[in-house]
Amino acid sequence: MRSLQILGSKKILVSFVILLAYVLIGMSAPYIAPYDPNEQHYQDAYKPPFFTSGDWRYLLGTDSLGRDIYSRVLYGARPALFVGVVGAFFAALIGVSLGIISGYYSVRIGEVIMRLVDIWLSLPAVVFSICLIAVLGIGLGNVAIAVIVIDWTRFARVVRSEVLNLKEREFVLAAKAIGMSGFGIIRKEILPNLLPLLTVLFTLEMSIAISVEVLLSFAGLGVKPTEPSWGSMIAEGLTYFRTSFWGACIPLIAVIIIILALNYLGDGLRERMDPRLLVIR
Amino acid sequence: MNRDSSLLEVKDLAIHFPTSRGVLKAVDGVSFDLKYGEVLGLVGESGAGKSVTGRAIMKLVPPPGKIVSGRVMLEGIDILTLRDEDLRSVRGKKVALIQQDPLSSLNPVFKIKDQIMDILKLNLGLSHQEAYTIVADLLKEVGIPDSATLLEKYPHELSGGMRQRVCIAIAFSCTPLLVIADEPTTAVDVITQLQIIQLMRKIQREKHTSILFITHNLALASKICDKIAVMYAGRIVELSLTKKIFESPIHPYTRALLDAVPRYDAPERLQPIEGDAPNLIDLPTGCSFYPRCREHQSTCLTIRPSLLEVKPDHYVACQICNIL
Repeated sequence: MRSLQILGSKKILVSFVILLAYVLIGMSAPYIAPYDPNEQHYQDAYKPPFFTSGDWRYLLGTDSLGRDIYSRVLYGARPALFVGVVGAFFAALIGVSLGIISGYYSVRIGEVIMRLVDIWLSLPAVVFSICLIAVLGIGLGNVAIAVIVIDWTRFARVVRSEVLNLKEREFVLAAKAIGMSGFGIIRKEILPNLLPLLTVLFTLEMSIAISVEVLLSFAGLGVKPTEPSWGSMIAEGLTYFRTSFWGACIPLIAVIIIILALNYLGDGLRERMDPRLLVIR
Repeated sequence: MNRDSSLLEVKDLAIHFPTSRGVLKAVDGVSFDLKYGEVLGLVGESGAGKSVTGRAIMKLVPPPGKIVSGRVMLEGIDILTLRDEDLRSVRGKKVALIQQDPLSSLNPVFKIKDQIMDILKLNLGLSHQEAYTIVADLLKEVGIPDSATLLEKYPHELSGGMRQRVCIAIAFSCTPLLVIADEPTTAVDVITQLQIIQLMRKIQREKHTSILFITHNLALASKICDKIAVMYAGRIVELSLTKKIFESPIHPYTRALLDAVPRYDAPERLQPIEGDAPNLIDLPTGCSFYPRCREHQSTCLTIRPSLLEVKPDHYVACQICNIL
């Protein structure tokens, strides 16, 4: 048990450091990138990265238009993290609110919300997100909106079941017995007990939101074509994959590392915080 | 304030739980009085309706239970007709609750400090500093001398006895008129049980608080209660002073209960009560205790006995005993 705890905390530490690095890179991209991400060097197109046969001028090589892949990957962290943080935050906000309302208050409203969640879950997420973008149009903000609209159900469902469980606990009765109001009970008794669960859910939701951004950009439905994004880089790179694999592989690795880090962080937090949560997912 | 007048008057209280197999009558016409500073024991086996009666006094009957009739008068005001906002000013300040399991009735994520002080701030509008002083005094009263260390701890770091002391401190913190103690000693060992009971008795005497003491343990009830009401199948079958219940019990159920209490001085007297508690959905017509009663007669089958004063201050609900 003890070794498991240490393993858990190591998992958390390593993945947290990786995540922090991504955030720092995303924020400081304009300062640390050697080139403008859209600057084209036609004479230097298809340059390989330094570890194959390339030189140090273009650290991770160039793409078909001679744009520096290293700079583009750094810039690509920005839309991904924006969607990850903003999408997950508002999805959590809406989902948790509706989850608490449906779990704590009237049974009827709760049932209505849960049937709505069921309808949501019956729609395939990828098709749903493509439809939403078709309506909203492409752009970073709209990708975040699509994530919020689709993924609030994740929070609502889990929070509701946890609230249903928490509100039967005796400390909630004790709070009622000392004259606490319904809102007070939610704020002081229920929310603090939801916090470990929410931390885990939020981490996992961030990884889902980031993969949605990558997926939509890959399909050309994400950010505007002028903005560098991992998804669109992978899509472009695939067209000349046989001659220069790095164009698709390097952004792909960037995506894989952050998704893995977020999933490990979620796992690690779950192991540390509450063994009961293992059942929920 | 007249000390001899009634603080709490429960009249014809009936609480039903709709179930898929029919209506479960958890409490079926319960009436009793409680004076200022009096301790009433509500005794009975599991499912007799003790806890639900206690909860109804705070209008906190667990769903899907419904209070279908009756009145709960606290200082002349019917609790059951109050709106939620008015109820909140009764709960905690006038009526407090001590629950069975002190671990689950404390919020696991907050320090003891925050839990007790919150109540004082919420109900009495005290400042942080004022609340802290009162809490230290309170904890001293419940036998926790080193309050500073305890206040910094989380509920799971305390022993069962300590937790229940904290719950008692919380219950008495706003000097309520009535404390409902719902089997407060079930989760602690026998020696701690006695300490907790003596502690409650001490504080109760000092503050002149009334207590509704709910238990299945007659011996424990005898240590703290002035009066005892014996409940069976959602009704009170016998109600009298503790001394009279123990020395001259009248109802066959009470007598059977006392015979079933193990005694070290007369081990051969231990006699179980035959049969099971009745199904509350499908109660026998007439006396609920009739199927298990050693002395039942044919009239018991048809006539439902009501609680009558058979001797001065001694109420019994039994067809046969009433005739005697």
